[in-house]
Amino acid sequence: MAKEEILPKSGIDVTTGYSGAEGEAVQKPSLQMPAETEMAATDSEKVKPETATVISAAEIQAELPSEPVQEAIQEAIEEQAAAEPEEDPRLGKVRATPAARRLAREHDIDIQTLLGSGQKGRIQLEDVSRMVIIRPGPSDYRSKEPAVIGTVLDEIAGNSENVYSDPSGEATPETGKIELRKSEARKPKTTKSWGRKSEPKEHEIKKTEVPRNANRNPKQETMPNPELDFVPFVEGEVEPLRDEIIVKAVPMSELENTTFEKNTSDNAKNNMTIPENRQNSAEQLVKVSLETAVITLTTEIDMTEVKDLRKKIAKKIELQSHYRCTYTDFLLMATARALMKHPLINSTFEDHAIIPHAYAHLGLAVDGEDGIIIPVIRNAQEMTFIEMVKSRGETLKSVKHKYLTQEDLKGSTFSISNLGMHGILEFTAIINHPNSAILSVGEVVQRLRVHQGEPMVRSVMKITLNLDHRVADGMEGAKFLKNIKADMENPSLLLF
Amino acid sequence: MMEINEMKKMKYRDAIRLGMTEEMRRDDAVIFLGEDIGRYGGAFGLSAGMLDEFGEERVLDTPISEAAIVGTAVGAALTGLRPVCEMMHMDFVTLGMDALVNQGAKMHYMFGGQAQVPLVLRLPAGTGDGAGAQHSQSLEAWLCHVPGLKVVTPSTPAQAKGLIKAAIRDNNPVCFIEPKALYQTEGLVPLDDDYTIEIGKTLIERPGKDVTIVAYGTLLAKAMEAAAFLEEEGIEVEIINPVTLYPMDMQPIVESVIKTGRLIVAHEAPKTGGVGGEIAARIAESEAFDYLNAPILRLCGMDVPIPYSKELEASVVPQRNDFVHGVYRLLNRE
Repeated sequence: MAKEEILPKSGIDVTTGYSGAEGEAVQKPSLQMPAETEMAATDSEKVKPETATVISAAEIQAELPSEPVQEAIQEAIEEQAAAEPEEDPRLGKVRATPAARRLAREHDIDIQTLLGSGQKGRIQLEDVSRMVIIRPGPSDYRSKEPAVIGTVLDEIAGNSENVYSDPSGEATPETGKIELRKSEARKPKTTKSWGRKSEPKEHEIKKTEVPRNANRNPKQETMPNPELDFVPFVEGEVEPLRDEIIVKAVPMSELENTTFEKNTSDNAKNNMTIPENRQNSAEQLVKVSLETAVITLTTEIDMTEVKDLRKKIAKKIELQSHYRCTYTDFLLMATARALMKHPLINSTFEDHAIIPHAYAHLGLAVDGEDGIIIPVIRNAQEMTFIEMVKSRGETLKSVKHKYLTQEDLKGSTFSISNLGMHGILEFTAIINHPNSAILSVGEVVQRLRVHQGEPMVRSVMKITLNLDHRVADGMEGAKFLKNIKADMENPSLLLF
Repeated sequence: MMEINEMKKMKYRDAIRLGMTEEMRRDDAVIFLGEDIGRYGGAFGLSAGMLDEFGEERVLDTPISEAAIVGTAVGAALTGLRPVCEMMHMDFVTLGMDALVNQGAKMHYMFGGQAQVPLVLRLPAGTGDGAGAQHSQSLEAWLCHVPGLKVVTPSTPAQAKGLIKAAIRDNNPVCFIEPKALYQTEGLVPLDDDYTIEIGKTLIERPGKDVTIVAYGTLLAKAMEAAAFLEEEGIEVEIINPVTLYPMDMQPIVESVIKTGRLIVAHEAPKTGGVGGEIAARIAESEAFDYLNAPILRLCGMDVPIPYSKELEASVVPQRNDFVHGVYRLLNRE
C-alpha cells in the first residue's frame, strides 16, 4: 500500500497533486511536491519524483486518515537543506548591468535569452535595446513597471493548432471526452519546458520571439512594417469615420471540432504533456468552449486622442497614484462604464441562469510565472481614473510578487485580455468562465485613416468581444463595443 | 569705472589673494593668520603685499604651531571676527584637528545656534612639487567626515576667487582646499567685487553623453585633457566638478549618470576611504543605479605615502592617460 500524504492547503485551492506510483514508497513527504491548483500554481515546484501519476487530491484525502504530518515535513525540509551540495553562487545567474535589467523589465524581455556583448559576456543596455527594436510594429509601451500584462502567443490555451501541436502527425484522435493525459516518466526538467529556457525540441512551437543569434545581426533589426492597410481617399463630401463592427458568428458544430482531440493520443513519441499547472485551466477551457455559443465582434478604436491625453497627464497621474498610466487604464475605465449600461454583458451564466451584476469586477488576464492568471479589479465602476491606475498597478505588482490568494482570482464579472504589447493586432480570447464575455485587446498601431475628411496617420487599436450568445445577442454586444469606442475616442471624459 | 563683467587673466594663487584682499577691504572683521604670511609673503608667495595693506593687526605672522593657529582662529571667530588661517601644507592640519573638529565644528550645534564660527581654513594640498610624504597629502576625506565643517576645493582661478569670498562670508567653518599644483595655472577671473560661487553647488564643466567623470582639484584639468583627446575619437565625456565636497550637491551627478550610464570618480587622495567611494555609494543608492550600464570606476591615488621623487610621485596619482584608459574600459574598448 502506498503511503500517502495529505497536501497542506496553500493559498489557493488544491485540486490535484502528485504522489508516488501505487505500491511505491513515497520517498520524501515534502512541501515541495508540486500542488496543482485552479488557474494558478503554488510556489512549490522544485523537486518532483521520477515517476509521477496524476491523482486527485480529493481521492487521497478520502482514503487517508487525516492526521497532520507537519513534523515529517519539517524534518524533510531540514534534511534537504543539509543535503544540498555547495554550488557556485554564479551558477545560473546572468551578468547584466542594472540599466540592461531595467530595460528588460520594462519591455518584458527575458534577460536569460540575451547574449552579452560586455566584458565576460555581461549583458548591457545595447544588447537589450536591440531586442526591443526587433519587436514587430511600432511599440510605444514605455512603462516603468514590470510589463506583465498579457502572455506570449504560444500560451493561449485553447488554440490547439498553436499550443499542443504534434508535428509527427501520428496522433490518433480519440473521439468523445477530452482526456487529460497522465505524465509518464517525466524528468523534473520538463516541467519548465513551457518557459523560454526549454531544451530545444523539434516539435516545439515556434515562438514569436526572434532566434537567439538574431540580436547579433543588425540587418535583422529593422523589420518591415507587417502591413499597412490602405484606406482609399474619400473624394468630395466629408464622411464621418464609419464604425466598423464586424459580426462573425461561430456555429456550435465548429466549436466542437476545435478541441484537443488530436493531442490526446498516448502513442506519439515526443508528444508534449500538458503541464500540471495547465491541466485545470485546460479542463475548464474545454468545458466552457463546449458549452457556450460564442460570437465574435471586432471594432477598431482610434487611439490618437488617448495617446495624446496620456502624454499630457502621465506625469501628474504618476505623482498621485505612484503608477504610470497605460492605455489599459483607459480601456478599463471605458469598459467598466460600458458594463454598467449593458448588464447582460456583465453577467454570469451558471446553472442555466443568467445573473446580471450591478458591479463591475474586471478580470485582467496577465502573464503569471506559470501561465495566465486573471486577478480581479473590484468595483471598477466606482473608480476614478487615478484609483484605476493605482489598483491596476497594485494588482500587477501583487502578481509579480505572488501576493495573490485564491480570493483575488475569484468573482470577476467580465474579463479583458491584452496581447497588444506582443504585437498582436487582434485575437479572440476564450471566455473566462463563468463570465459571459471577454474583451481581447490588440496592439496600438499607426495606420492611415480618414479623419475629418483628411487622410491622416492615426493610432488605432482593434478590440474583439467574445460573447456567449446564450446570454446576450450580437446587437447587445455591438452596442457595448460602441459605448467603449465612444468613450475611448473621447477619453478626457474618462478622467471625470 | 570698472565694468561688472570685466575679466582678467591671472594665476590661481593671485586669484585667492584677490578674493581675500577684497573681503578684507569690504569687512574689517576679516583677519588673516598663518606661518610666514606677513613679512615673507607666504610659503608660496600667495600673500605678498597683504601685510603692507592691512597692517600687523589684521595679517598675523604666527608661531610655528598649527594648534595655536586654529585654536586662536576658532576663538576669534566666536568673538565676532572672521579669521582666515593658512596651514602651510594641508598635512599639518592634523595638529589643529582638535580645535577644528571638537570645538569649531561643534559650537554652533552645542550652543543651540547662539554661537557662530565663521572661520576659513586654507589648506594647500596635493602632489606636484615633489615635497615628499609629509607635505603632499590630500586629506579632504577626513574633513568631510566631520558634520559641522564645510569642505570646498576650487579647480580654476575664477573658482578660487569666487569660493574664497563665499567661504569668508559663510558663518560656518569652511575648509578651503587649494591644490598647490594649481597655484601657477592661469585663467580668466571676474574682477567684480561681489563675484562668489555658491557653496554646495556642483558644476558641470563639460557636457557629454557617453561617460561621466567626476573630478576635482588637479585632476579636473587632467580629465578635461583626456576628454579633449577622446573627443577626436567620437567619445563624448561629461565632466562634473563637485566644487563643494561636503555637503555635496549630488543631483547633477545623478542626472548625468542617468544620461550616460557610466561613471568614473577621480581624486588624488588614496582610494581607500576616499570621497570617491562616497560618491559611488550615493550613486548606487540613487535613482541612477538602474541606469548604470557599467561598473562604477574609481581613479584615485594609490594607498601609499607620496614618494619624494617627482617621477614616482606622478606614478601614484591618476594622470591623463589613466582617464583615457578608464573611459575605454567602461566602453569595452580594451
